[in-house]
Amino acid sequence: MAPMKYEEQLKDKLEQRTIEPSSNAWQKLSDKLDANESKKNNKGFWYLGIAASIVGVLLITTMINNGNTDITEPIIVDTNKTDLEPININTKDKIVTVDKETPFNETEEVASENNTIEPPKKQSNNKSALKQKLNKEQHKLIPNKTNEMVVAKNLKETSKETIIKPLSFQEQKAKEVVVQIQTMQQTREVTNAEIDALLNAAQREISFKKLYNENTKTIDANALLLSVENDIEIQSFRTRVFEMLKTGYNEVKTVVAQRNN
Amino acid sequence: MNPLKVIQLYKNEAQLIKKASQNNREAQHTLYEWHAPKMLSVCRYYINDVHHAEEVMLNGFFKVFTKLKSFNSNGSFEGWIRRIMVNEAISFLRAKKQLEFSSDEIIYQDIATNNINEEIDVAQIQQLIDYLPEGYRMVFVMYAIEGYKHSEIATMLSINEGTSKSQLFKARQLLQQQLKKLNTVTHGTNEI
Repeated sequence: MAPMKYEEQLKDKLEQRTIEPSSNAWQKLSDKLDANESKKNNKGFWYLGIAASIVGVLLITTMINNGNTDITEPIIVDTNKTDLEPININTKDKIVTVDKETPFNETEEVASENNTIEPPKKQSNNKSALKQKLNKEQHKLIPNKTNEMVVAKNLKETSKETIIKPLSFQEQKAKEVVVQIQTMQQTREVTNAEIDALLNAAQREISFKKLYNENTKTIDANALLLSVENDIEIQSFRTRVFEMLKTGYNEVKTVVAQRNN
Repeated sequence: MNPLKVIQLYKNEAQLIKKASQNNREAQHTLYEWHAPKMLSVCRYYINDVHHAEEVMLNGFFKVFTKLKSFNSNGSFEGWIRRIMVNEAISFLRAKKQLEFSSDEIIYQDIATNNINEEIDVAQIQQLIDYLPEGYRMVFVMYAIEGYKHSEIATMLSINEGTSKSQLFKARQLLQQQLKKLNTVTHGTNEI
């Protein structure tokens, strides 16, 4: 469909036409463009803000992490340089005190059990058995010597003195007991009961030493409570054993009496 | 126009477009001043009310300036703006639901190829176009004035090519009748 002649005429005439827009048209367009740009900028700010906050959070977390390591690392370095030896000494002291304490309880229990369970034997027991027992008790009384030697080697001279002093007291007691038994053996035969009595006496002295603080002239309440509780337990055990023996004896007695009937 | 002046103008326009794409308001204003009267006329082809036409033109310029970076500088800037304006006008008419295309079957007949009176005013021509129904008018303006092909019109208006052709034929028939009336009124005869 070819364009018609009049259409070309129309086109020419219309193409030459221009219509002036209203005076405020540009202002409207300009305002619209401004609003659009501010919108875009706001969007940009939003994205920028979000990005900045994410970066901020990341920075803070990394700083916190770094800060922690920064704080801990110098402490490690310091301890290596200066605080390491005192700390070691302290821990070793603790180890030593633990070693010191545990054997006492064991010996106490063993001694008391010896008192109660084992019925008093006659003096006809041979000396070798007594010696073995003595060695055992002595070994229990004197806490792990080899360990202490190793620990003591590592410590400074000052700390050595502090550790050796309480040890020497226990050793002294143990030696005293041994000497006493030996002297008794020279004159006459020693019974188990006598040995137990001597050991108990020594233990009581040691435990009193533990309870009583000479420097402050006070008694450690916790240690006292512990010792009392131990005594109660032992007593109850003792009474239980006696009860059992009593009932057993009564049963045997009645059986024998009934047999006669 | 002196060819040197044309080159100068082209250079100036290219610079202005570059500045305007960087949201330089002065450059945008200059481009607007250069093209707005012509573009308002183009919008007026499609839209009866000049205020609405101006509204469409401003929306078109808004798109021009916001999408100026996508303008291919090899082509004609005016042609690019013009296409945006036509699309804006189509959108406007669609939004107003004024754009309807009758699907009546038509019998193509030879239309008398009369010349139009040389004295006929451009306002009168606009009036003739304004009388056309929206569908006829749209296709007629796009085909006869803007120079689009039927295939392009069909794509832009989302219609069949056949519909575009029938709309053009009907528009021409109506225009012929109107022209006859106009000639008879002004010269007392249809023949000029």
